[in-house]
Amino acid sequence: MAEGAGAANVSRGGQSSRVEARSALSHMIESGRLWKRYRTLSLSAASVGLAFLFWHVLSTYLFNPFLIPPPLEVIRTAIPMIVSGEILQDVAISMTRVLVGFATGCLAAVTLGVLLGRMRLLHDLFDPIIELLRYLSPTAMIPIAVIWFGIGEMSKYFLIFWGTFFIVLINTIAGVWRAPIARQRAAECLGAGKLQIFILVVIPSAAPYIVTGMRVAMASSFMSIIPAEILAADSGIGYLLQRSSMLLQTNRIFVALMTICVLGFAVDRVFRLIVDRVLARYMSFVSVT
Amino acid sequence: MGLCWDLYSAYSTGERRFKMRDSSVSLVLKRSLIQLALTLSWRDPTVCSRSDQALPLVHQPLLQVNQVRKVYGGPVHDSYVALDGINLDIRKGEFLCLLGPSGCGKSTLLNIVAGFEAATTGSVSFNGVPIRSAGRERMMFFQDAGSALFPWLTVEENVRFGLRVRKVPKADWNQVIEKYLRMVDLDAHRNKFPAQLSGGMRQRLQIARGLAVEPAVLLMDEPFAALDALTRRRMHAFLIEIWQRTGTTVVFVTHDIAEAITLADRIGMMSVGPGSVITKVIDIELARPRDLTNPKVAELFHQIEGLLAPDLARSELHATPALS
Repeated sequence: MAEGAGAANVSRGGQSSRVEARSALSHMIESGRLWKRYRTLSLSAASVGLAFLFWHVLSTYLFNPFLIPPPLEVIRTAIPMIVSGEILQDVAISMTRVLVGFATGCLAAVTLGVLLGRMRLLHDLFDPIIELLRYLSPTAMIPIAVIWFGIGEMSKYFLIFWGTFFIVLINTIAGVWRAPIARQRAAECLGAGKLQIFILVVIPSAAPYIVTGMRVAMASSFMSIIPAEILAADSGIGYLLQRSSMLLQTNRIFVALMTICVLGFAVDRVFRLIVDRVLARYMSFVSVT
Repeated sequence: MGLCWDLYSAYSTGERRFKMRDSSVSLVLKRSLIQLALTLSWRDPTVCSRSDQALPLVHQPLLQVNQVRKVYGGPVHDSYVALDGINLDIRKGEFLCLLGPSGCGKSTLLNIVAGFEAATTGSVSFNGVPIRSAGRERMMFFQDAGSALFPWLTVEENVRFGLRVRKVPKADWNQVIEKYLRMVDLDAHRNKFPAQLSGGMRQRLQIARGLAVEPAVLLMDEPFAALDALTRRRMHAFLIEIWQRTGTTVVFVTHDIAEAITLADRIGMMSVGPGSVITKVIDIELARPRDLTNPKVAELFHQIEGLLAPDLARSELHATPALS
């Protein structure tokens, strides 16, 4: 057995093994391959499983189950909420807010960013203001947003827009700034005009920076929609959190928290998938996945 | 009295290493007088060797670099004189190497010839017409092909870019792309992206992309410096073959003596900065391909090395370029 394990290690190391030993060891090699193939998946499953176990121990044996409801209790609460569509409605509302604010924020930031990145005078004129304003997080803007736009959809769009705008803007400027000078000069020699260099060379060169900025902004949008809904909304996941807190329904709070985790993760995956499918050629030098 | 001595020594020795520590007016004045003396000293044939004086006047050079001076930074303070009066005539169809140690302004000169940067004083003309910006007839090739290429375009699309922006008729695209990809032996990789190519292949792609727009002059800025020795030798043979086949003019910047001897018809030797000049132009009339173990080639190598030695010592760059 010890001999067999040694030989298996050798063949796993990628060396050609002796033919006669191969059939006897095929099973072990096979299991090694299986492990290699499903390594990430099984480790992720184990990670989540362990967390659930830890959570269960914490809530049942260490703390009050009312303060930390055990995982099974949370799932039991979640099922009717999903079946009745209650939570899906909240998810849809929050998602719409995030997507509208994010999309308009990206559009405005990329448009302004490519101009600021290219025009030195414009950049030097706007940069000080940007450098000051970007420290105002969307949360800090909630009170004034409510006064300006009320507690309707507009205030939420504005807050997500605000958060997205500065992150994408700064990344876009940096990307345009760093478009390799050799590439621009090569295009110039090949006969491209100024506008052609800008559109066909500089903006594609900045794409990895812009996409990275969008990913960060997407994550931050998910973080800033919740406080906005807690403080100033009558719908959405944040409102669910706030209402459950008022009624001391800790298990419903946990359902909402888990929903945020799953939703953020799923949206990031979808984002990466779209980037890999649509923008893969622009990302060749920066790995997204 | 001291000023007179400085002026005299600047004039007679071509010494350009005056450092300004004090910014008082008299020193500024003194400095500009010294610069004037240096400019005047250009007329001295022992300091400057005009390259093409033997050439009959009817043969107008393809590119004419005339008294090019390049100063970076402010007019008085923190200025750096990169080039201090470069004169060079480049003949149609020749292969000229600019050879000099790091920081001697070879790339600056090439950028001025390409039209990316403007000379502070002096001029460069192409077929007698002064160069003001980058032009279609002068194609630059960069050392870092990875950043010069368009990484989001395939091999084929990279070549097509130039045809598209130059408004070459669409019907001719495929034929031209085919021709140049075959010339650089990349036709089997036409659908790959630059990131999927090796360093040598990327450089060949850059050459194909540049040749496809049929420039009159190839300006090459140490294009093979980042390649390994074996690939570099193959690229030398390949470049010579293309140059002989297409009959273009090549201006090739390098700091490698062996590379210059292998490739060039003429080598323009540049002195170390600040205030670089072309110290000597060496004609090489040896048959190609040139073998570096050939005694004549080896002799030339040592001769050039000897010419560069004082400059190398001055730039504190003692590494001898290896025979590749």
